Amino acid sequence: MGIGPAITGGVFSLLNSAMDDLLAINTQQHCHNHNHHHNHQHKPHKPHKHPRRRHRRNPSSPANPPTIPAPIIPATIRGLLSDLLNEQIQITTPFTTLTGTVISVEMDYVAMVEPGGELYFVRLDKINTVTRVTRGV
Amino acid sequence: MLPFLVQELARRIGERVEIALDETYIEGVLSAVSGDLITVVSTSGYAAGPVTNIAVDAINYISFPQD
Repeated sequence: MGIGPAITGGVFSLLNSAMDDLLAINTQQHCHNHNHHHNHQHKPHKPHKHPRRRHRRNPSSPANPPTIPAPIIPATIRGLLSDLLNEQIQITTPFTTLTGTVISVEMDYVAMVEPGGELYFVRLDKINTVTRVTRGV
Repeated sequence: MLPFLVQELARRIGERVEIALDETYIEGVLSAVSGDLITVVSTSGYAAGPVTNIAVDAINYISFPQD
């Protein structure tokens, strides 16, 4: 590091902080290097250690009951409609909007019954939106 | 295994249907189902109208009107 001998106050502090930064970077790099070495050397040992620790910790906290399972959010129109079985829904297709009760969800279509009793088979590929209709209005 | 739409329609040949495509509405009697194609005989009054062949992929929905 070729830092000149004649440094005035403000510049000195700037340079000082720059030096600190450099040192910090250097030490970080060293740490990274060490980590890499450790990873390479002790790979087979690490996986054994962690599971043991976890097993010991778990029984010590019996107060934690099995947490409430996260709600499963359907990822497809088909899954969504399966969740809405026997519910009244509104489906929009390019042609029009349909309202009715889902009675079954098949491979590529959903069967629903209109309030009037008419049966509809709607192709899943053509469904744009699905909305649950709240009852009891 | 759950049925596909064509399989369900094959069991309903001869029934009155209303078929909605993206921009078209077709009423008639379901007369044939084969592969990706279904055939509907349009009806207007008592006379049998033109035969319409519809690609299953184009169907938005099919309804079965109550008599």
